[in-house]
Amino acid sequence: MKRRAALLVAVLLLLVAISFRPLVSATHEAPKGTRIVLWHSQRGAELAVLESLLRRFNDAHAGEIYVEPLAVPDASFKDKLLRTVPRGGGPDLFIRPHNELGELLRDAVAAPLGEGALPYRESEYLPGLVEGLSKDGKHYGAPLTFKALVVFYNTKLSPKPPRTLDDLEALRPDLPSGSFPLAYDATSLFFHSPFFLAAGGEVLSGEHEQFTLFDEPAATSFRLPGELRAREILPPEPTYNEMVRLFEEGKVAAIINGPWYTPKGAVGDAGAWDVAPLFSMNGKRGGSFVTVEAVFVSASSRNTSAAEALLGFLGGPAGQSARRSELSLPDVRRDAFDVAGAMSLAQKIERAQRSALEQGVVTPSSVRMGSVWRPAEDVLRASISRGDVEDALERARYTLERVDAGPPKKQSKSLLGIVLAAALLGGTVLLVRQVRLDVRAPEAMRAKLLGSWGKSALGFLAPGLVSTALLVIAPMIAGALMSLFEYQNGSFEFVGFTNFREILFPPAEHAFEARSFYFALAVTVLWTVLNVVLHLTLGVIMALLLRPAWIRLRSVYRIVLVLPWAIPNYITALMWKGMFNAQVGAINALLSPFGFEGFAWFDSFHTAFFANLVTNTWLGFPFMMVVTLGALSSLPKEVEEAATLDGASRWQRLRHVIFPHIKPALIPSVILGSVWTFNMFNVVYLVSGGEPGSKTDILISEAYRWAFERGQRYGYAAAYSVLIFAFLVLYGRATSRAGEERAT
Amino acid sequence: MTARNDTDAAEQKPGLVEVVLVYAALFVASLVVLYPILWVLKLALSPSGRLAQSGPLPWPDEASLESFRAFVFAEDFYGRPIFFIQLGNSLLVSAAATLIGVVFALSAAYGFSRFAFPLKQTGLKAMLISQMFPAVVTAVPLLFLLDALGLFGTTAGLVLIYATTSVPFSIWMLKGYFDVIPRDLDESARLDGASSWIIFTRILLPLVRPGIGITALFSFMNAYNEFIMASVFLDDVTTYTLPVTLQQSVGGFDPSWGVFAAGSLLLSIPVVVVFFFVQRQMVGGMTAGAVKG
Repeated sequence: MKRRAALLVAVLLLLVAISFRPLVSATHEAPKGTRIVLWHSQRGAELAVLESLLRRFNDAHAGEIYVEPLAVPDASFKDKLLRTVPRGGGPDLFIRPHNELGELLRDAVAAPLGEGALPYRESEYLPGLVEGLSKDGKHYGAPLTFKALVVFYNTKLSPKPPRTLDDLEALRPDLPSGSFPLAYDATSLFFHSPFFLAAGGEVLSGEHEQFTLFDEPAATSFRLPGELRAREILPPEPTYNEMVRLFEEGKVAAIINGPWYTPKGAVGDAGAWDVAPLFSMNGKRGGSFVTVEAVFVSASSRNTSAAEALLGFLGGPAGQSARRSELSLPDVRRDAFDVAGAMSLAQKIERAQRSALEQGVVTPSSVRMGSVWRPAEDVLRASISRGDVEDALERARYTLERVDAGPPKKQSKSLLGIVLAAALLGGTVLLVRQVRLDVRAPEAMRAKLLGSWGKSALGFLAPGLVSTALLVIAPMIAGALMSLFEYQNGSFEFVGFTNFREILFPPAEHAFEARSFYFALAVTVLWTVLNVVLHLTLGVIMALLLRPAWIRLRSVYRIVLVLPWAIPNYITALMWKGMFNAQVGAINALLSPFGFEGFAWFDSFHTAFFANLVTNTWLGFPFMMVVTLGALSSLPKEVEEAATLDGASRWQRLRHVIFPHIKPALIPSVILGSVWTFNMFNVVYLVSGGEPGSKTDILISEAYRWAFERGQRYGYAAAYSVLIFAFLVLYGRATSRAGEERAT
Repeated sequence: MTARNDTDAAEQKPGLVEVVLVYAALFVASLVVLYPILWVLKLALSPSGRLAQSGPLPWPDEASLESFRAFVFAEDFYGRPIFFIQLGNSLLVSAAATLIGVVFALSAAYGFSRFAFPLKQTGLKAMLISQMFPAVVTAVPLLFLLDALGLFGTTAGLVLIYATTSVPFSIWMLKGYFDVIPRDLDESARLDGASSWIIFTRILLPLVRPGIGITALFSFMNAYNEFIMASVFLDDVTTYTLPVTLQQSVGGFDPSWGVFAAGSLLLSIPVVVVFFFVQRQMVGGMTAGAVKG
């Protein structure tokens, strides 16, 4: 009865929750006038300022125009624009960083601004900002603000602002042990940009936007983090969170960070910090990569004039002054900064950013920029862990060569026809042959006698099969066909089997190294086998442990043990990554008696792979446990009782009664489990992230990187997917053969 | 009909050693399982939304409910309580997708388990194979298709995606459960003149209840935690599902990890509740009497 009542309460709560939306929308009255939709991904204080600006705009245009903002997750923003705007949907305006302009234009997502839509004259803007938002003489967005790197310094450790890198190094002897002169996220090209630019680096150059970031003299800057580490200027494991933590604990004299940062922690509470422009290097004042935040008009907007009015409001005086006074974000105008004498903190940040912009560059907005971050990160990591930087540079250059290798030459469409016709014909022949075999099979005869043949099954099968065929199988076939194409300039070009040839027959010297198909395949197979064995073993053991009726609180244990499965894995995977952190990770703290202090798990393949494996086992065993519990519950108790009466020992009962009974329910789960593990993207991507140097990447994360991090080679990624698919189909055949043989 | 203590009547009274060992194993396993979750909780309770250095124990130094508050009492531009609206959306979408998916899969699994027809093995393999193709490249064609069906951006479209993507898996799972039930049972009913529909609904369905529970739990979670499709697909803050808003709290500059952790924990509560009801099915299970027939 208690359960019934609980179920009733749960259902009632469900109904209450579901009725919220209709109730709220019934009481909510849409304002009058033309509706303008604005997409953004802001939150916190920035969101509050944006919303108050929008309310002011709405009040000023009451009855004519009203703006409705929509918060879109940063990670899917671009995708959402690309999927909606070309088909006429999407917003009227959106706020994005300028560096996505290349892609936005390739897919015709952003519309050029009309005459006079830019809130100020072009010459009034700080140099570089409008240029970053322009292409072929057209302007595509109004700058809202810009973000450049500045130096936050600890006034106790460094009473004066550090003016040069040498100033910082000079602090070294006076710092207590465990403290360092400088901290910055040396794994990211963005935070590394002051050093990169000081070395004379250029990411892309020339008319064809050649990748020049790994050429000399820029390459020197990639060797620098290792040297800074060796000279104990930079702490170990210089990642963003780690650096922020050290700075806030007062263990670092200066940190390079962006304007969004406000020191918290001990240093923040004591107010023992100040802001300065980037220090000079090689006799040049420091500059950084600069991101321009801009508001764009969508190509699908039907109310361009209203949209441009809002663009002028947000990018013009009203927006500029609100963002500056409430968020301390810099103004975009050349003449906006005129301060003499003592400066407030906000003014110091603004001055430092203006100086970083003056000496630095607005990041190129070319689509090709998307491909450089990850290879640069690999080289930087190699440098920090004092690995072989020259070798890492060589590999990074090769990765970019592969990016450049696409798009391959176009192939004639007739080949496409031949491929399609052959596939269609082959498929039909196979199907017909199978039908004839099936009709004559002995099983068919038996079924006909029993009345369980053919047509009577149709009604039961139709809903499931039709919906699957339409929404699962059809997109799959379309996706597979993509592997014969290459994406360029916003359209797909047919390239035949070039993608497959490139993947399967790479140059011999690169065939078996990280990022090659064969290396990733080997890692994936190892990954899958170990995971499935562990999930199954642990799952079955836990299910058997939970079985005896005399266990108190059995349902409590059952619920606790299923929690890893119930909590969304995007948070728990990240938590495991944090637990494997070398400096603050809980794992090292637990293992500290065994000398694990400061052990860097992600520096070598074995330990990084182990970290992934532990995480995925933790996430994966509850599924097998639940399936086993279900299978065990359908075991008739008389069968086991009979076995006990016959004098079967515990092990004999397990082996001859229990295992044979749960096997039929477990086999599909094992097959499906191995398929999912094979394609377990989240854990690999979130925990090790492929570290070190993409070695722990499995095939699916490689495919993802080719689609999104190494030059949008969708066709190439699709070819990877087809190969993954082919491999799994072969695996499925092998296992079902093995299963049948054992059964007979 | 004693559903509570049926599982192991065959077991004799356990010895002391066995009791100690079993409890010890369960205790250790629970600790290992809870440890990372307690870290998530600590992150959710930390006022700064960051984890400072603090040794091996996930004990909060200072607790603040600010992150939970920020997530639960978030309001949209018009001051509407979006958490409650979106929680409702999430539950509605997941429950509908589960219902449709499981009903479709149940009847198909019955068909696959109890009938013979041409291309049966091929169809089964196609179900399995459909799980093997990475979603990285299928998302785009799927969105085109929904656009063609006029369902782009609608809650119904999302329900349809979630329901169908879980069908192949559910068919496989449920077929396993149907296969375990002795065929004599339905074949003798058939000889008594029962139709396929009667056999399916009256005889077999009650017997595969544990399987239905697990499959439903799986479909529910699949739909409930999904955010990639949902965030590309939905374009109104009142139709968003909760994971979309959750993802909005991180990414880009200066992510709010505390809110993300608090939201993730809140998000998992309904799943745990669903599991609470499903587990009864799992242990209730089949009574031997029904099988003897």
